[in-house]
Amino acid sequence: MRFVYQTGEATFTVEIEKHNQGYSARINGEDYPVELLKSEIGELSFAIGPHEHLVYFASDSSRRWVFIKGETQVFESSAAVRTRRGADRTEQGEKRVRAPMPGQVRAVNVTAGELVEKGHTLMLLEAMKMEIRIQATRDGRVHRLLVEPGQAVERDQVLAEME
Amino acid sequence: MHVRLADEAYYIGSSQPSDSYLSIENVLRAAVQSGAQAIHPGYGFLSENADFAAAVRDAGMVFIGPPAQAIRAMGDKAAARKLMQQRGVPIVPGYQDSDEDAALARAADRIGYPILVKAAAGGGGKAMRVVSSPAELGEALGAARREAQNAFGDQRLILEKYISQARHIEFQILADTHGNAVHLFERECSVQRRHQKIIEETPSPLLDPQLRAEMGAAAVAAARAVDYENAGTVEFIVDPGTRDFYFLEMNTRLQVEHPITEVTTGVDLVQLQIRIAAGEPIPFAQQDLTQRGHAIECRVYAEDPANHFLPATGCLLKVVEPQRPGLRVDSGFGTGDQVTVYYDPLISKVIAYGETRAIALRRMQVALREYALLGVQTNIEFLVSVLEHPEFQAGRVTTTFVERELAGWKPAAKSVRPEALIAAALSEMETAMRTTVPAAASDNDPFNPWERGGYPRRLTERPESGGTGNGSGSGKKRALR
Repeated sequence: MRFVYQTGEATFTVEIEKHNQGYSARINGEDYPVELLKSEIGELSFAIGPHEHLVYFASDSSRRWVFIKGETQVFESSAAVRTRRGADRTEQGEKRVRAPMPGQVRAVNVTAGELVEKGHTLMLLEAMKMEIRIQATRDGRVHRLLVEPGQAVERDQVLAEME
Repeated sequence: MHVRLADEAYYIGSSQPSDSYLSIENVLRAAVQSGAQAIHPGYGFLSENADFAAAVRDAGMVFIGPPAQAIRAMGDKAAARKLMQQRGVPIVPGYQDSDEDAALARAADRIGYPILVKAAAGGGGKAMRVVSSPAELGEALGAARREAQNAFGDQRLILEKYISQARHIEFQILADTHGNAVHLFERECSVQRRHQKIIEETPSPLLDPQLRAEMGAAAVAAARAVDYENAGTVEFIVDPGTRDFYFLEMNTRLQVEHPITEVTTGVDLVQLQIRIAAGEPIPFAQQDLTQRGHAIECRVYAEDPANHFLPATGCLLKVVEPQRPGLRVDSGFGTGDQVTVYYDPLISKVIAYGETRAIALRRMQVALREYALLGVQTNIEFLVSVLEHPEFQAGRVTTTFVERELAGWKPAAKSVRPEALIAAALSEMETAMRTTVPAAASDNDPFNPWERGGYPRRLTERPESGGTGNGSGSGKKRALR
């Protein structure tokens, strides 16, 4: 089986085959004999030659977390990466004002059509009792406001659009 | 987590804290319904709310904490500053007489910038702002008022001179209903981000026996000034140059960082809180108490340290806590729990103990490396960076350390090891196989290796003790015939 993982800008391909004595993996043309020692939900241990590794893992629809040797690696499946890239291309750059964290809209200080300077506080967002200011990303008119006070928002949700 | 641990659970309202954990009415209703004799308010939410303490007592129950008037006296930062001044406890230069914007602006000019804006009713770093110039004061006052209103239901503000090179050192105190009051030494909490503590330790590397005794006596005097009962913490800031100390505030509740005091003094603070509330005297005197060894606490938060420590949310898909000698992990979340926007993003507290500071530090570093928290962004790597920093190692950290030394911190670029990739691929294969197994394993054959665990533990074992892995169907048929 072939798996493609992406972390940051780097892409890795792992080919892994199962046979009677265990597994063999191939990465970048190099072969690794893998002996699976234990397999439970969210936990694996395996050996590559004399080196044993204990691994904790988890995944959601697009990412896979692997905790090994005190480090957490987050991999995105290549399909998920492709969708995200596509979304990036169609984005209107800095025209969209996004939520830097999940939270609740506390107050909206501008109205659609209002002329603002870059850095002007458009709205206030609150999460976990911390308040942060959402500022205009450029000089210009507020084109559209997409949220209302009291509304819960997700991280990266578009809050407003500038003209 | 607390709901799972509890013998009984009662619904107190929606996830919006104002409808549940901040609702005196709802909490009292649940208490009455359950037949509780006493309420421990924990920390946060209503724990420093005098009206709540009074309401609990009016409802005929015991409030495990100080009397309402002591909470009120210390909770009002403005009044507390005046009272401490009268009792000879040194305070930070500041202003607490009026809440008018104009009066605050004049006072700020007089005290000098940078200045700290704080909620008069506040604590816990909430609604606190450092203002570096008069131009920023107006907006800071507005934001702090809203946060104060929201967090404490009281929007009054006070000002304090912002002492930028300061150590935050606090003293744990206990007072009973028989007039006894003792301190249980200090906790140094100088490692802070956004004015909230992230690493605490005891003993403080700064204090010597004499300064410790002076500050301890001042802490007890502060508690006595308000006829304090139960556990409390008197916070000071210490100028490391002059070694002068100033009263900051008193937290009239148990603190998040109380475990480091417990492991170094051998005193169970929560148990004593309950015994004191039941009218028992403190079972020891000041001279019976000693500090033994060194303890450090790290607060593990769901947040993004590389992006202004903004809170992170999501599902904790897999949690494995470190287990080692000299280690204690107090956690509020486990595998499968959701970190939501409604509550503080503190996932857990890791407490490491050692005979010396160096041993405690080393144990903490190992513990954090062994802590797996998958699915949500955490500050663990950041905590490790702090522990490894030469200034922290030398015990010289002040409250501005994080913004000064670790501004623009980014996680170290990791090289992706082949074993990590193999682990990812193996985990995917194993998970895929596991999900196909249950359909085949629906019989009652006690020897069926696919039953219970769902999968044999060792794939390399012979066919008679498990499948060879070449299809669960054929393996099962063999076992049945």
